[in-house]
Amino acid sequence: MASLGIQNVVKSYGVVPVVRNVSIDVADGEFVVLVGPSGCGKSTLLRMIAGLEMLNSGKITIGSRDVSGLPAKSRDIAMVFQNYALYPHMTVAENMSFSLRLKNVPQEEINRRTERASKILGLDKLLDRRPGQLSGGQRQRVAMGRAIVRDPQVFLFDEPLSNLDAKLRVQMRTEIKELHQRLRTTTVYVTHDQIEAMTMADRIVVLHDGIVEQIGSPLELYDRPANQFVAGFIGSPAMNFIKGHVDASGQTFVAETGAEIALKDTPREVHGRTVTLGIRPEHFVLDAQNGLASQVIVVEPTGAEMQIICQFAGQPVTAVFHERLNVRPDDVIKLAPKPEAIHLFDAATGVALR
Amino acid sequence: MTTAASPLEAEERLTSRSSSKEQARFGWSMLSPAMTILLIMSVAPAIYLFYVSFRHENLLGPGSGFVGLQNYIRVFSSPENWSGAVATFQFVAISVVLELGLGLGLALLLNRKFPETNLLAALFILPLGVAPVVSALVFRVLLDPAYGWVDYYLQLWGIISDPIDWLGQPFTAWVAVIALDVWQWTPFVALILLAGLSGVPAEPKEAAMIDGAGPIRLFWHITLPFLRPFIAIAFVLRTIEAFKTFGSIFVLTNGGPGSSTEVINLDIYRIALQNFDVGAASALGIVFLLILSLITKQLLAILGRSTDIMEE
Repeated sequence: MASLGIQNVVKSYGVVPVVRNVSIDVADGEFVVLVGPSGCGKSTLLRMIAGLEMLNSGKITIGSRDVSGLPAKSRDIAMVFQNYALYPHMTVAENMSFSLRLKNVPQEEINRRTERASKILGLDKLLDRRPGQLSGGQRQRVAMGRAIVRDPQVFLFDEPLSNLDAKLRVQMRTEIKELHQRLRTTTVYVTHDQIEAMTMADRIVVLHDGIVEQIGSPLELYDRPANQFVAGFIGSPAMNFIKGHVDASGQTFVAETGAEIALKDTPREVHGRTVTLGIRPEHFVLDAQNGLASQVIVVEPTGAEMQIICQFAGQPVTAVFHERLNVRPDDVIKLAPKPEAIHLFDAATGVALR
Repeated sequence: MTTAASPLEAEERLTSRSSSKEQARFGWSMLSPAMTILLIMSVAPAIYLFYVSFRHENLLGPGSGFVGLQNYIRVFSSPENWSGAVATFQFVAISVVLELGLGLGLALLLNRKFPETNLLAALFILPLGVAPVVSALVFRVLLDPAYGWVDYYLQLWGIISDPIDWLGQPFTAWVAVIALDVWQWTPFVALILLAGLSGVPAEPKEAAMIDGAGPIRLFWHITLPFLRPFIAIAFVLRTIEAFKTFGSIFVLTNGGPGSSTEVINLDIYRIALQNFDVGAASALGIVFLLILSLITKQLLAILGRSTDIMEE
């Protein structure tokens, strides 16, 4: 196990920049998730760590070793691919032990380590099968087993759950996290699914267009997003954004439609400024006195909560309530955001103002 | 919906049955031209061949008649046929192995993503477009000891002092016959393997690189297993075709010198159309056909085994 350092890494394909000057420090034993929309450069960054892509400039270190110029086979990392990348002509046991056989590890040692990994993953009854005879979840486990037997410095996961069905995905998510808690191997995990990122990560790196938007713990990102992109990307259903300006006193936000929303503790710099107001669906309350009259468009009960999409300050917003409300489409409800949960962003740059 | 089948339904069922019959009839009528040609061109001659193989049929000699297994006994007791069989297997084995080896090398070379490879691929594939008889004629000219280029350049570069009569000695004649086949058919193998190479998925290769495999072990443990079905296809097709080789050897050496390069096909030709012993030639043809079908069956089994390994 070791720490992983990514310093000022740049990568472009031809003239198209994919990763622009990214720096991330991953502590020994940490579980870091790279998350972002497709095309944000997260997979490319992971492949550079693996040694499958070369950097244009910058440096990648594992422990104290600079691995930037090393081929994949010399980096002592293990990677789990999105489509598992199993060797179809080898049995499960052969798949898992391939790296050890390449290193001429004695047979007893190979057996011991394969057995241990297959026990951890519940694969011990499938060792003689070929990948073609396994289900998606089992293949995913074999791919993880192949990584575990290596006992590498760093684990890399490239969207490992996106080929599984929803139920299995949740189950494997827990298993991977459990596995990390048990093995404490430094892990970099790539996903486009922010829920996966939130539930698994010690720290999340949000990437967008090849740059780091924010690095932080899941709740940091949720509570204090650095900018409008992170605010909109983290959290489900997504944060609502309303355009408008803060009045001169800083007490009220005035939407473009003229609707007014009360603010609390706004910094001086935002007074009188054009901003975007951000409010998470779960931070709305029903307020018969101060709430804005909002016409309900759609009601989506999920059992645990109710999502209500309604017309608020001139635009559709999503509000989530944990209590069961007797609301139907076309009803008018009085909706108010909790003032302490309101985020303000610069209308032009999207930077959070607080 | 409690009533039994109404007359209308019954009629419907009737028409649907008759239409399926009609469909079958239509199908057969569509097939029949091809079937007729197949019957006339392949099945009937094969049956006739089988019939003739039990008869004394000599185009020069007196009358014909049933002779039982005599033709077969003559086929198996003739040393020329045995040497022909040995020559055939020797030719097939050496040519096919060389073609697979060189074809694999060529495919790997052409699989690199350089702009020149397309042009190179087109050049390498040229021999496939030349008729075997034509290439054999060209080889004969090239190998001529008096005015052929091969001896001329070998002498010019000081590799040999006296011209070699390539087609005049058994060993060099074999070299020429095999070289011609290899030159002509290696591109075919390369083409099949190139298709196979382009289908090898990237991820298992990348996984193996991360697992610690260098280029050689990557090829051996990942690329080659993925290529196995394609190698098997190339092997099966080339083996069957090589057994059938006639024109190129006929033109290049005509089985000579002596009968050193006389493969079974030439042997059959000589017995039938030079000795006019059609009965014996038929018997030899039948024996060769049986052996070939046994071999083909084995080859197809190999093909089946190698393809289902990679199935997901």
